[in-house]
Formats: sequence, C-alpha cells, structure tokens
Amino acid sequence: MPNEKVTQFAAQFRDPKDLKRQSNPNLQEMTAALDGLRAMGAKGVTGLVALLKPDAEGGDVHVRHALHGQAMRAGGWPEKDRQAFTKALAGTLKEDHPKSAKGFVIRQLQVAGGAEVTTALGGWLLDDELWEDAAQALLAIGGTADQFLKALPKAKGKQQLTTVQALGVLKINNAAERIRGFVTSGDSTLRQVAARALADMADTGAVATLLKAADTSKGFERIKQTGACLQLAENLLALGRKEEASRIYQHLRDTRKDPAEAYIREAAKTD
Amino acid sequence: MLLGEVNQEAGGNFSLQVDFSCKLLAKSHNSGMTLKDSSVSRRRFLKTSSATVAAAATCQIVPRHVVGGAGQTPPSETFGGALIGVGGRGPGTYNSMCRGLNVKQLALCDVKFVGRADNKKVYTDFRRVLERKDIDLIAIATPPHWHALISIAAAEAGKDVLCEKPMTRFIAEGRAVVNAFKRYNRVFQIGTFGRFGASGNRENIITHKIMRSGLLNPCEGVHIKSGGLKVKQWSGDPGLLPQSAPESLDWDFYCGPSPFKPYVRPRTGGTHRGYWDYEGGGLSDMAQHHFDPVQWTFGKDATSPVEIEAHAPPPHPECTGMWGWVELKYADGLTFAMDSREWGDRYTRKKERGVSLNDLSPENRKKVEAMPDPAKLLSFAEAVKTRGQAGGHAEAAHRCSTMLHLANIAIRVRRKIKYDPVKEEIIDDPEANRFVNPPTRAPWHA
Repeated sequence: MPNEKVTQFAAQFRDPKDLKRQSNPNLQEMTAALDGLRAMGAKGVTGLVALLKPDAEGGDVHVRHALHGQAMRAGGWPEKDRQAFTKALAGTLKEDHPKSAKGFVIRQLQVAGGAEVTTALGGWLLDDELWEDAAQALLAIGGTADQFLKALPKAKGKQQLTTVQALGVLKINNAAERIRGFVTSGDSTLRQVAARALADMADTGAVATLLKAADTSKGFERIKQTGACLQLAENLLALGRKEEASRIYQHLRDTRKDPAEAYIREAAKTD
Repeated sequence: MLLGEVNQEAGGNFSLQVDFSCKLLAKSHNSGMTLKDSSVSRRRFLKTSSATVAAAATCQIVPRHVVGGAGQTPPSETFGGALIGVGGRGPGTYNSMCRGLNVKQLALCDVKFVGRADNKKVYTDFRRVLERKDIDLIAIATPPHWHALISIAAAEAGKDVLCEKPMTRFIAEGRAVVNAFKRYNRVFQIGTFGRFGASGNRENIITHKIMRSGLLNPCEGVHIKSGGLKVKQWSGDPGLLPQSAPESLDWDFYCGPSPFKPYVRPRTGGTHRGYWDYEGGGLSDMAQHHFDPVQWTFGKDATSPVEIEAHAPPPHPECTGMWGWVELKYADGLTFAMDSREWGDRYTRKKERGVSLNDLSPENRKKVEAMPDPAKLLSFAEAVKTRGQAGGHAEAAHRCSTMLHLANIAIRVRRKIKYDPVKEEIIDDPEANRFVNPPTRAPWHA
C-alpha cells in the first residue's frame, strides 16, 4: 500500500511541463514537501521508491522529481543525515522493485551516496541491465577500486570495457598486469580501452606494450593507441619518471616518418 | 556524426543542399554545404548525394600534409573538410569553418545515416572520417555531449577543428580538450564569434587592459545578462514513454558517452538541449554566445568564477528546467549575473556597473594607458594558415563553458558553491563536485 503522506508530498512536484505554463510555480510548496519527506526519515525514502514505476509504464514524473530533489539537497546536509538518507535508499535495492526503478535509485546514489553505499552498489556491477548505472555511481563516489577489482575477472563484453575503463579512471595500478594482457586481445575496442586505462594509471610496465600496439595498429586504432602512448608519457613525466617518458617520445620521433604523422613527431618533442 | 541540432536559433525549418562536385568547388572558396531556399530536403540530398559523390571521386586534392612542411600548406591551398553532425547547426558551422579558406568537402557524418552511409562520402561513424589522411579540417555540429570526444579524437588525428557551442557537457572534458589541442598543436575555434567584434571596440579594449593589468582589485564591475536565455523554450519534456528509435538512427551511438536511456524523440533533433544527458538547456547554449565576448572584454579567458549562487526550484533528474537567477563572482570581485526573467525572483543583488580608468589611481591609470593594445584575434582561417591560436581558442572556450556549467551546477544543487579555478574543482562539497567530472559510458572517455 502506498504511504498516503508520501503520496501527498510527492504530488507537490508538478510535471515540469506545468512549470513551463506557470510564471511562478510554488517553490514554498515544493520545499515544504521535501522538508516533510525528510522529517519522515527512512519511511520518506522507501515510500517514494515504492511509488516509482517501470520506464515503460511512466506516470511517476513527480515522484522522480521529488526523490532527485531530495538527493540533490542531501549533499548539503550534515553527514549523519546524508548517510541516513542514502542508506535507506540503498536498502531499497534489495527489495522487489522494477529494474528500471532500481536504475533510477542507483542514479540518485550517484548524486548523494558515499562510502556507506559502495558495497550495495558493487553487487550490481555484473547485472545485465544495471551495470552501467552501478559503475557510474561507483566512479562518481570514488575510492571504489575494490568493487571494480572484484568484478574484473567475471566481467565480459561491455561490462569488461566498463570495468577496465573504470580502473584506469581510478588509477588502480594493481590491476595493470591483467589489463596489459587486454592490449593484445582480439577485440579492437578492448585494446584501445585497455591502453588508455594503462596510460591513465601511469603504468611504467606498459611502455613497451603500448608502443608495440601503436606501431602495429592501423587507421583510427593507430591514432588512439598513439594517443595513449603520449598520454602515458605525460603521466609518467608528472610522476618524475623521465626515463620511461623519454623512451616513448624518442620511439615516436624515430618511427613516425610518414608526412601524415609529422604532427606526432612534433608532439613527441618535449624539450 | 550525430543528429545535429535543429536550427531553432534561425527560427524554423530549412532545407539543405550539399554538392561535392568539383564544378561547385571551382566557383566558390566556400565549397560544399550551403543553406539555400531550394526545395532539396535532407532526405533528397542523401539520395542524390551518391551520384555527386561518384563525380567527386574523380577530383583529387592533395592533402596539405603530403607536401606541406611545418605550415603544412600545399601549393593548391585546398583543404579537405568534413562535417560531423549534419543537423540544423551543421551548415552554419561548416560554412564558418570554411570562411577564408579553400575547402573541399569530403565527408558528411551522422548517426542518423544508418542504411545510407557508403563510408566514402557519407558516414555514420566519426572514427572512419578521422582516419582519412586527406581530411584536414573538421566542423563539429553534433549535440554537445559529443563535442569534446570528437574534438579530442580530431586533434589526435592531426585535424584542426571548428566546434559548435556549447563547447562541452561538463567541465573536466573541457580541460581534456585544451590539453589535447596543446599536445598536438592543432587549431581549435569555438562556434561563436562575438569576441571578434568585441575585441575591436575601443571601450572594450580599455576594459580589457584594466582587467588584465591586475591593478583593479577589488573590482566592483558587474555585468548582468537579463533574459534571452531561452529557459522555457529549451527545458526538457520528461516522463515520456519509451519509443522505437527510427531505423536510420544508431541510438546507442547517439547516447555515446552519456547514460543510455530509452529513446524518446525529444532527446534528438534540437530539443536534446533540454536534457542533462546532452546539454544544459538554454543557459549553456545561448549564454556561451553572450558571455564569450564579455569574458574577453573583462580579461577572464584564463580563469573562472570562485563563488556561484543560484535561485531555482528543485531540479528534475532528466530535464533542464526553470531557474530565476545565477550570480558568479571572480576572485577579484568582478560579478557576472544571469537573470532569466522567466521564473521566480528577479536578480536585484547588484546593479550593472562597468569598469573605467576612473576606477584607478592616477598612477595606475598611467600604467594602464602605457600598456600596448592586445594583439588582434586570429580568425580560424588565419590560425590554420599561420599555425597560430584562433581567437576563440580552446582555453577561452573552456573557461566560458566552465562558467555556464558552474551556473547549472548551482541551479541543480541549490546551494552556494565555491570553485578553485586552478585545480578546477568545487571546494568542500564533494557531491556538487561530482558534476565537474561525471563518469562517461565506456568505451568513451575524454
């Protein structure tokens, strides 16, 4: 049974189409509704989630608006209150709700969640429908390497691309050895994502692998693999690893003889 | 590459005629796509383009890198050009890129060309365009969520770029664009040109010199943009039931780096502006036009506001919506404000106030008067030919985009935010800072 009080509060959030038609929607009413929902504690959160409908059904614009409005406010609350909100929200992922509704909940955790919800989110990294939402939430929250490292061995296809890219963004060096193997995979997209991830994490052990991948690939992949080499060199320089960076630059200067790649030779001149 | 933007700025429908033929090229330096009043529809163009493509195949141009040295200009001074994003803004953006240059249009690319692409002249995948060695110049007129990724890939491929505004969808990808164009020493010009006129105005030049001197601190200058930001017009349409994407559209590719959502028609074709997944409403679209020259005038091309506050109702998760005003303060005290005039309270905190030599002490006034005028801004064509920096270069465009993204973040979080213009981070508010660099969908990553 829907919580009547929650339903009433959510009804204060009109369809933005209505806002367009009005010169001055009632900000006070909306704010009062969010205050009322907050005062209800976890029930205010679970009550809203219970009102979410599947994407294909619709009719819950006002509920989504209210829940998102609250998630955006939560970042400004005292830490204890924010965590109470996000824990209640994450708890609904265990309940029987439509997948698309859970996706929406995860996207609100991306806005307001912290370390307290990362385990709950990590469980969705290998889900057939929600892995991207979960990955993006975990990346936004940050400090979530464990979740991605745990998913990496089982991740396949697009989930694998997502996981490898995430480990690069988070600069998780202890995944480097495994990711180096992907640079020679049979999948061009995976090769490029893996090379960029290694560049992002400034993996000193990837210099030879990335140069070889850049030398042997063609077309757009050659462009991206060469880009990964230059990115790796810059990141190594930033860490003071001048010798490895110089090796990359020297190699690119020595091998890019085609006039069409003159700009690469120029880009590899760092001094 | 993507469904381009419908030309709502121009106020309506248009027809499009593209001619790849050498005959047209011989007649005009601005070869290729032109906006005409002809009855040739985009659909008809696509049907007929294969015939003209065949004719064009006999006309070879020498790519500039083949015979060019450091300046890379071949004797013919003909550049190979491509348009990625063939929608409403495509023709204007492409023509802006060609102005002052002799460009032969070699490729058109859009994800709505499924079933029509021949991968010779008409493409659905921008990567196939960028790997062509005979293409030197890229015009990007996709929705903004693709601007940064395609710009960066173009720089990596050695191309110069003219990119439609707004430059980016979020702040961090703007920095990635700046870094890429610096790394590869390529030319970037944003698709708004007001600063070229503004920088020729004597009064603006004086303001620019005063601000660049650093001698006016604190600065009491206030600039207010009042109305004209299309808040209602470009707010989104939420809660629509999922529809089937047209067969001609690669919807997954369209979504690209942004979250994959069920297809609904308003997410494409110009009304994409009203969805956070692709843009930031009328504010990020129209305000780049307005603030780009203002930013130059006030000498803020290399920095960003430090305090941002907005008056707005709770935001919708999918769609951009109403807001009343936004105030952005720079470290020296200069204030920019936007007053929507379409919702809520008006901006009344400060009044418009210019900056003049009278604000300075006599001694400082003399110092400013002794300063040389700023160098003339280079057009895209001049920058391409001389390998210089275009007037609307990546750093300036990024800083202007940053201003607008910060405004939208303040509208969304509805609390005052503080920004570090050097680290390019929101301070002491990790949740708000998540909007500075939101994750992108693999394999897309700036």
